[in-house]
Amino acid sequence: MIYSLGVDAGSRYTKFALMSGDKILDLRMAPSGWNTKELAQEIADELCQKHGISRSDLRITATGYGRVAVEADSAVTEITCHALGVHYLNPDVRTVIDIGGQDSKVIVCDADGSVVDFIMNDKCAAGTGKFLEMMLETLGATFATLDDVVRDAVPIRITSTCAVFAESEVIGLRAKGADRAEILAGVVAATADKAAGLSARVRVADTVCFSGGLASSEAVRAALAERLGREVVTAPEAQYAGAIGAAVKGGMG
Amino acid sequence: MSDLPSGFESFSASRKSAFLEVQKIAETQPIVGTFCTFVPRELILAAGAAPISLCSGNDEVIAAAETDLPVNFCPLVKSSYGFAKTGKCPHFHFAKLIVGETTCDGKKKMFEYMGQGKPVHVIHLPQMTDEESVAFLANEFRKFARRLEEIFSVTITDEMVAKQISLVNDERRALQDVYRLAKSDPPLLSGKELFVMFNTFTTSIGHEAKLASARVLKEQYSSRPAGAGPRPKRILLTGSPITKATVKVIDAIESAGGSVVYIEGCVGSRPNELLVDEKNPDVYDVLARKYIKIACSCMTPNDGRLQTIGEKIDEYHVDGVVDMGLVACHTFNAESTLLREYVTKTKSTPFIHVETDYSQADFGQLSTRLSAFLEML
Ligand code: SF4
Ligand code: SF4
Repeated sequence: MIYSLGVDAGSRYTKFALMSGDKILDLRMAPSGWNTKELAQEIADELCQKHGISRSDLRITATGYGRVAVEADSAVTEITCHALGVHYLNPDVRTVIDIGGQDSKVIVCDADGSVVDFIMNDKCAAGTGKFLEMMLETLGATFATLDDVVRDAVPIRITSTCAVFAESEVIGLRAKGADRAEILAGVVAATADKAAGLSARVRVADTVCFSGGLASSEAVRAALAERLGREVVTAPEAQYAGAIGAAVKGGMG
Repeated sequence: MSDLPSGFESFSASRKSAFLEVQKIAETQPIVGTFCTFVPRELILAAGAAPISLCSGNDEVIAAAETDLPVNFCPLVKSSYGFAKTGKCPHFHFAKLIVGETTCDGKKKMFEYMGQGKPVHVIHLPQMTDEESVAFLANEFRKFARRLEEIFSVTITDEMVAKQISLVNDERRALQDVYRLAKSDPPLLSGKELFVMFNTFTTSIGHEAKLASARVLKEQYSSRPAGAGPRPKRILLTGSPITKATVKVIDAIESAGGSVVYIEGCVGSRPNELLVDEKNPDVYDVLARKYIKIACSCMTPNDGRLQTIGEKIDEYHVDGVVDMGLVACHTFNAESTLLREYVTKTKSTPFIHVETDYSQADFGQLSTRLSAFLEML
């Protein structure tokens, strides 16, 4: 029996998906830290032990920003993996919007989960997880409570999407006494705007799946659906889409 | 040694030797620096001078350029100007004349600054390709010939130009013989090798030497055994000029298992694909007709680029098109949308546009994008 482990080494978190054939056996997440290679080895050992798998039966496929650092049988880009992972979770989806720590991407795939087209943000951090994180920090808020804080708040428009300028804008708004919840709602809107702007350059299908680090935020999902004028679904495992896709890819051949 | 730049002693060993090498050439033949493939090398050669391309692909001098030029100019302009300003480019240093052209706004303004320290002749390029524009360009070329005559105290006859037309055509044919070897499947040479060849030719001097080195390359590549192993995905690369600083795009493609089989660019096939008509005796007219067809995005409309890319996709069995735009190169970046439409719809070929500059900081991102593109093919 061959088991497939997908390792998605992101800039902030490394995600793991252990699969046997079509079945997901385990999902794991750990901060990437300084040594992704060691981390991957540790978790691989742990998972083998837990599931009674011999290491020689494990095929490792790495993806993500740190994919080359991981000792794996093969490395595949996160674009290919996100498409396969989302396709595994929801075969009806043809467009994936992934907002990660460092970059955002929009991926269009076909009925098999193969990538047909994609677009990634350029060097700047606008609209990425990093952008949101910086704004949260400035406002003394956390991602975990974001949805609760912005519920029913009327967003204040953030005009700057550059992470650095937006930060001064947010500080300026605070200084003028603007409501924190309304500023945060504005930050969510700006994040969704940026992702929607990116997707305008590819052909977005009717059903869009939102994946990546921000996918667990209902507020961001809703804002995205509004901007795109389309249904945007997500899945509880959406954060693991890259790792699942890598495991699927590794199990292919 | 007196004609070496003042900072010479502080240069690295390789830069010093480059200076001494160019100095030796400059003692026997005046050097004319060019920045663009629209400049007719035939006329410079007819004047007894050596045309040499100056587009310097390096970011070390960009900070110096930014003290005079806006930061959001394209890196090619900033680097070219930075080399001129800091005296670090041997070709610029020994050049007796710099030839500019009115391609994009950045270059136009750069030439004004350059003209403060060196003789600069700016060729006024038309922006369209109709008959009137051809006549206009032919006249610009005549004016350029007069300027060369003045500076180098020579007379340029039509016969002299005709002779150079045929010699330069020979060089283009010799290059074609080499780069067309990439038509073989799998290709007999890599994109990196194509780039090195094109780049060497834009900065080298001497007709016989060029022909000889093309012959050597042809022999070397064509005697290679037909490739075994998996067939690499065949990529056509187009966009702003590829230089040493942006060859990282080719590296990213080729290290991900692709092979660049055609470079549709100015350091590439763009200036070599078309020959000058040798039968028509009106040398200025034939030169204008050839050069106006260079499919640069500074022309409007620039349908020729789409047409060439379409033809090459078929001839070279291209699997995907990579369009590289330099940051702030408005014309190429804007043309990208049109090109994407054409390549994906009309030619049913996958397409990706990447934007980059002369720094190496984005190599990781570039390589993720281009690897994903190759995985998609
Ligand atoms: S891209 Fe255009 S402007 Fe630049 S060298 Fe080529 S022809 Fe000249
Ligand atoms: S790359 Fe574009 S902006 Fe830069 S000099 Fe060439 S045409 Fe002008």
